Amino acid sequence: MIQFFSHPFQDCITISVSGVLRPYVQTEQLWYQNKLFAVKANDEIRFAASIESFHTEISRYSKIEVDHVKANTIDEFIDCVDLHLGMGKYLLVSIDNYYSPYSQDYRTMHGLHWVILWKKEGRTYSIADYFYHHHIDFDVETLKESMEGARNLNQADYIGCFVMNQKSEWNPINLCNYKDAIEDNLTYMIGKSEVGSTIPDTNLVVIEQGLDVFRVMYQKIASIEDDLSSYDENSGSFKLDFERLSNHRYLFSEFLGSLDVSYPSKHETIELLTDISHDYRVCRNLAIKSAFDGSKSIKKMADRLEKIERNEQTLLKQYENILRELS
Amino acid sequence: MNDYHFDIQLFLNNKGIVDAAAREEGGFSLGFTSYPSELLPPEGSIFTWNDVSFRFPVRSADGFDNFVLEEQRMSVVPRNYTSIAILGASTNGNFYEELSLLYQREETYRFKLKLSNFIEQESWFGEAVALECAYGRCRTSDIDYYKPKIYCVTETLPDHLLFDEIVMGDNPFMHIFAITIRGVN
Repeated sequence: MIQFFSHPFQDCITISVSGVLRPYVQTEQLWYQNKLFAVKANDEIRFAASIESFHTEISRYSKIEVDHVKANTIDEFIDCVDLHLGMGKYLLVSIDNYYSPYSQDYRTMHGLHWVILWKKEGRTYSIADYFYHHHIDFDVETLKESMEGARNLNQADYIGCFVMNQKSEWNPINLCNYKDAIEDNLTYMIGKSEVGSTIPDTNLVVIEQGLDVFRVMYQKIASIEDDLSSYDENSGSFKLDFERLSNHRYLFSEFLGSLDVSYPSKHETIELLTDISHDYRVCRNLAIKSAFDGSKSIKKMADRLEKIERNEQTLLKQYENILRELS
Repeated sequence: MNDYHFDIQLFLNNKGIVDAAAREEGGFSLGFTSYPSELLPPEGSIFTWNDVSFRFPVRSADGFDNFVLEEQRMSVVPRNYTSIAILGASTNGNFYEELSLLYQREETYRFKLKLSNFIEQESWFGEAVALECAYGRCRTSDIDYYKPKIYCVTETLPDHLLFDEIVMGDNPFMHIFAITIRGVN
């Protein structure tokens, strides 16, 4: 049976995945991506802690298998859904809130949202919304409509979902995985390996990575201050990006705390990650607030980012300390 | 020991408690959810919780009833104090900032003031819930999915601490409704 839980640092994808796997897996060990990238698409610059898809992330150490299933038409897709639900698997699907009768955006606003499709009875599909703690049934037409809507929002030429084999075997992380995750994050934060590359399945190009991303952030803030008319769209993207950065930093602090291993800088590093996560969350709120009070919140956001940048620098030193302490 | 109700009237800068008739004026969270006035102690009243008394703020001429942290410097009567108790909550996240106590401009003590999100189902930092409303007041209706809370944070001070100023951090998403400082006569 579906059991909801609350976690303020998980978005609708991670909380759905964590929610499904939680009865079987130590979910704190799934999320370790903690990098920093500036990416560009259609002249818009966005910021991210990871350029890897979530299913690659969670299977790297745990070996949990998540299949990305795609279909060309909605009818083909429904056949595929029926097949997997019949095998007792849960499906992570994206829907358009505009077509979801329980959403406050129902018939008013389009928006992408991720939920778990977990049961079919007759022509009725049961949906569990782990983010908003809702159970709801969709008839097949509503399901088709909401998924077609999501395809349009994604500008994808296919309809897809992720099939989760929630009861499959999994590997808890070991010390080697633990050090590998830290080293991987450190390598990406000090290197430039991805700059100029295109993220698979997207039109996003990485334009900067590591601490130099802050320079791009400050430039974007300066451009907002120069052009007050761009407040709305920029505050919206800053809001989403800072929220995700905050989530990734916090989830990585949980990852570091999840292995029973002691070393001198463990507590300090976890606390630092929590502080960084906290400050990104403040920036997220300031981005929203800037739509009301403009430069006052933008100025505070820039100040807070300078503090975050200093802490991110310290974090890299902490990573090096940990790797030394655990060698 | 006496409870000294610090007068926050001069610092009020946010509308967080609203009547149903004025629901559109509420601006506590970024989504404009506020506390329903009928479910909280009357303005200016003395509210006692867990053996500590607080004075609830009197709504200002601008309609403000709480303050968000903006590095305020607050003068207090210099005394030896033993604890400081704060009623407050955060919005749109769980936040913390340093709060400093000074004597003659020198910092004598500081601590992290941690306040959970006012609509969190359970307090994130584990602080005590002093007041909880059965519903939240949004701009179009009352929503019983939200149970807005006001938390009480009590910091025990070391060895009858002498101070004459409180300095807040800077975080417009942390709100304070009342401060009581306990001290010797």
